[in-house]
Amino acid sequence: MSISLPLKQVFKFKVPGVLALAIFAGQFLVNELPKVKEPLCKIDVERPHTSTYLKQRKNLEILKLNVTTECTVPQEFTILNADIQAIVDNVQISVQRFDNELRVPDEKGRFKAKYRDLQVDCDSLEPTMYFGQAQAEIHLKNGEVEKLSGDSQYFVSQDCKIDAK
Amino acid sequence: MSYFEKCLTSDGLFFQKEKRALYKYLLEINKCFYVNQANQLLDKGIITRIIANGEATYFLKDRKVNYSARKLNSDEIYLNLRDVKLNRNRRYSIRKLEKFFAQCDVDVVSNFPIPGRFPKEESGYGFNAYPFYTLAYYANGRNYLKGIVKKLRTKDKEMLTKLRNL
Repeated sequence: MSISLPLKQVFKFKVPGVLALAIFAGQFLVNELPKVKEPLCKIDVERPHTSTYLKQRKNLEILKLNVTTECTVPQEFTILNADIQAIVDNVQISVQRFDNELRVPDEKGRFKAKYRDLQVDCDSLEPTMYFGQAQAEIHLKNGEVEKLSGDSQYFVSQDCKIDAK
Repeated sequence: MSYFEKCLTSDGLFFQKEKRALYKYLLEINKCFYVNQANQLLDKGIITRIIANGEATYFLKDRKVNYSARKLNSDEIYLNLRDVKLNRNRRYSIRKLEKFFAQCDVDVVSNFPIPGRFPKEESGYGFNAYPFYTLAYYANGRNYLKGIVKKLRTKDKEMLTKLRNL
């Protein structure tokens, strides 16, 4: 018994015109859709801490928030909005804000903007839980602007109480 | 050492309120100096000013003034840090420049202080994006009505008294 394959029919199979167009358009859309851009920068928000340096050297009780933005390309400058949050009477409140802090990186570290002067006076030495968060707008040398935010991930207790302003 | 002199060193300015008070104080004591400086800039188009451990150079171009700064004896220059727009009215421009100069002096002092007992950690050039003389500073660039209220509520008397008397 001989087996005959319907070869003729296979070769004759035609994709309907509309379907072909749809496939073509779909392919085009997939290729041309804006690709998810990899972030060029990252932000590091350290946990708020009392400054031992200032305590030892100047006898000042100060709570500090260190923030760094770092990019894979050179920065023009960073504008930062940050705040220190605390738990006071079981309520999470913002005790200190740092707004529109602009920093131009130095030539050596032009990929990084380091904020080391976000600090606030302690009103008393009562232990309090603190948390830091920040939003940065990074203006890169190539003209692009990266916006990102970050936080210090969890609350830490510090012997410093700041009265909310 | 007076409190003002201390503010010019790395043992001085720590907080925004101190910088704001220093701005008001500089504006008060340097009135004639800033007027002179403004006239020179409007005539020559470029002037240089040394304060604390830094040097600021002001450039006038197309009725716009900007400044660059560097630490004394350093080759690293921070360009186009702030700018201010002027108009054809010379008196108005001088008044605007007075405030601008005081603001820039505070920027330079806080970034390049005279080395004190405790050195400043160096990390680029930083300042508040909105100058103290604008409502945007008090309003964080948002609601200017709130800015007016906040400005009226801001009391720098204590710091100013310290600057004037100590």
